Amino acid sequence: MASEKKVVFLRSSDGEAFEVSEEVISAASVTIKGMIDEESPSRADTAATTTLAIPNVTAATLSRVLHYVNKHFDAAAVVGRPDDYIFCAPGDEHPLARFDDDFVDVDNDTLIDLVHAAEYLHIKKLFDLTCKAVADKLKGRTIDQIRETFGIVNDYTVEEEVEVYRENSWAF
Amino acid sequence: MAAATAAVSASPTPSDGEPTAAVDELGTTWRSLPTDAFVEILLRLPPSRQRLLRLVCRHWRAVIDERTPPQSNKPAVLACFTGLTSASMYVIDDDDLGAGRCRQVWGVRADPNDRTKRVDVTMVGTCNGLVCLCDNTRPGGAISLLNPATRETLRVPPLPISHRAGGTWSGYGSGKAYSFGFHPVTGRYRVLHLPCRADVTGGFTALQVFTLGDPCPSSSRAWRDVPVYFPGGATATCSVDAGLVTVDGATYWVTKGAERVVSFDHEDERVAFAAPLPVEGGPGYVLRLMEVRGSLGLAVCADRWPAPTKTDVWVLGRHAQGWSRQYSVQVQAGVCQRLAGPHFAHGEYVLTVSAPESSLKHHLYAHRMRGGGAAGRLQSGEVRSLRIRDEGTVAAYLKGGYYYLRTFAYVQTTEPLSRRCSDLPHGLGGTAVVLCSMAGMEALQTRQGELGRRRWA
Repeated sequence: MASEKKVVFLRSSDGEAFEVSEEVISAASVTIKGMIDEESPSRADTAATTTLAIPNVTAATLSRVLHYVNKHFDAAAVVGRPDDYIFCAPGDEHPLARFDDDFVDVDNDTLIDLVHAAEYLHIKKLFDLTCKAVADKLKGRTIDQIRETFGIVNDYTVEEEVEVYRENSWAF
Repeated sequence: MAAATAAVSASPTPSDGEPTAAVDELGTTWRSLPTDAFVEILLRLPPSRQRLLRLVCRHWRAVIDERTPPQSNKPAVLACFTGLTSASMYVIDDDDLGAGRCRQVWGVRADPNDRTKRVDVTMVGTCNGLVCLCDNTRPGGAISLLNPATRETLRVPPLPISHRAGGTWSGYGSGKAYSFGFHPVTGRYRVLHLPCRADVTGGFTALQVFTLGDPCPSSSRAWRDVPVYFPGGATATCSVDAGLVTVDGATYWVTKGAERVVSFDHEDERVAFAAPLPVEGGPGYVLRLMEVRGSLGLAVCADRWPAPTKTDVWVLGRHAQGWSRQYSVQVQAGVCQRLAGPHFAHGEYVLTVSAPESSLKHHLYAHRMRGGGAAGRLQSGEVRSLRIRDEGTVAAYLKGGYYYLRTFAYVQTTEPLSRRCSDLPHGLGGTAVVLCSMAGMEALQTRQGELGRRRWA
């Protein structure tokens, strides 16, 4: 077995297991890299594959996360250095920019789950992407629309709400 | 392991049929979000939006109050000096005003070996930590946005050719015809251009608007013409020397003959006359628009060389309340200073600059107001009087002198300038790096290092 083709399995909170290249997931997720490093002495030179429990992430979310990770961190799939697109030439669009846009074009719950997963798994690029996507949803909407969009109950009394309005108008 | 052998695809793709939370459970997911992640999301929003979101619920207010930077409601002074061969921007934090401490956050210098290249960058305005700059060496002026905190820059496409001035030199002062603002409801940033120049008399029938983040098919259509109609058919004119000020979702300017203040509402895109001027005005008077804690101010002084002895500042009340006089600043003979602008009243300080601007001392001064400045809020009908007897504290200065200095209230932000290149017309994503490539400029130096880091996250 070629050593660079090592894979690990990740088991979601609801028991589904996903296969992913060890190299790719280690580059992507600080948390999983830590888990693999901890495991390594016990599996030294054995052909046995490792299964890691990811208790905080459901299968639905994990499959999305791995889809992202495989796109962004698989060296063979990414043209040039992963960060090259920051310096893209005029008119260029990084091939993954479109992918990223589509990736976060999901319903709110799915998006929040992704933020959660990215934070837990410590995948910085994904965390940045999803936080920005949520922040964008908080722009251009009235307070009522935001409550409605995210299903948040207004727990202010009328007096309190007026008071907060007043505080805000003083902000500057 | 049994589970391992049951594993699925190597490259899983999200399936559409997966269970998602039922509609009536919405909000559960949000509540499960760790506070740290919530804070990260909040930090990607402009400070004004953070403040606004305090209204959502108690939990949000608590998180915003405890975890977002307190400076989001405590602005610093941003001073932008435009010199003959350089331009630079300084931030003076609240506590540093009296102490004469400032930090440079941006700067640019002409290449000393190339005398044919000039630098003429003026600051248009600032909103939520983003700064709008105008390169006046370009015909009609070239607008760029900059976040000094993150070093992110964005070039705004040039005006349509018909609105640009002819040669390079006639671009002089172009920056004065622009204003930069933020619409609190839509959360969109806007640059507004009035097709008038200091040297040209005459009216206009449309103004130009660029909205950051608006999808537009090409850079030639990035600026949108908005027709200007006055009831009764009055001609729109502008006295650019009085300044353009954008506050609270509206841009204001003064008519050519200094008769009226005009407002342009960014929501319904209509122009209207603001309340009649509080003073007679006319020849011999100088009017300047100011920003006074988020409201429109109007500084009125007699046109006296070298400096006006008395300047009154009137503030336009919201909801058609009209003007009320809030500041009266007297300058003792021998102290050649006038009010800085558009931001001049900062906490317990009043900011002034040397007058006339061509004098040899090129400083921004701070004067502490006696008594009651700390509250920063005036009682209704109260006029704050200040007599300037001495030079005051030097808050910032530009070595080698300047010819144009503007001051603004500034709050730092880490909000990304634009999430995607694709928000912009074709090709603009890449030219967003701009400030570095402006003709004749050396690499942009800041005290922290070069503005070479281009961030497009």
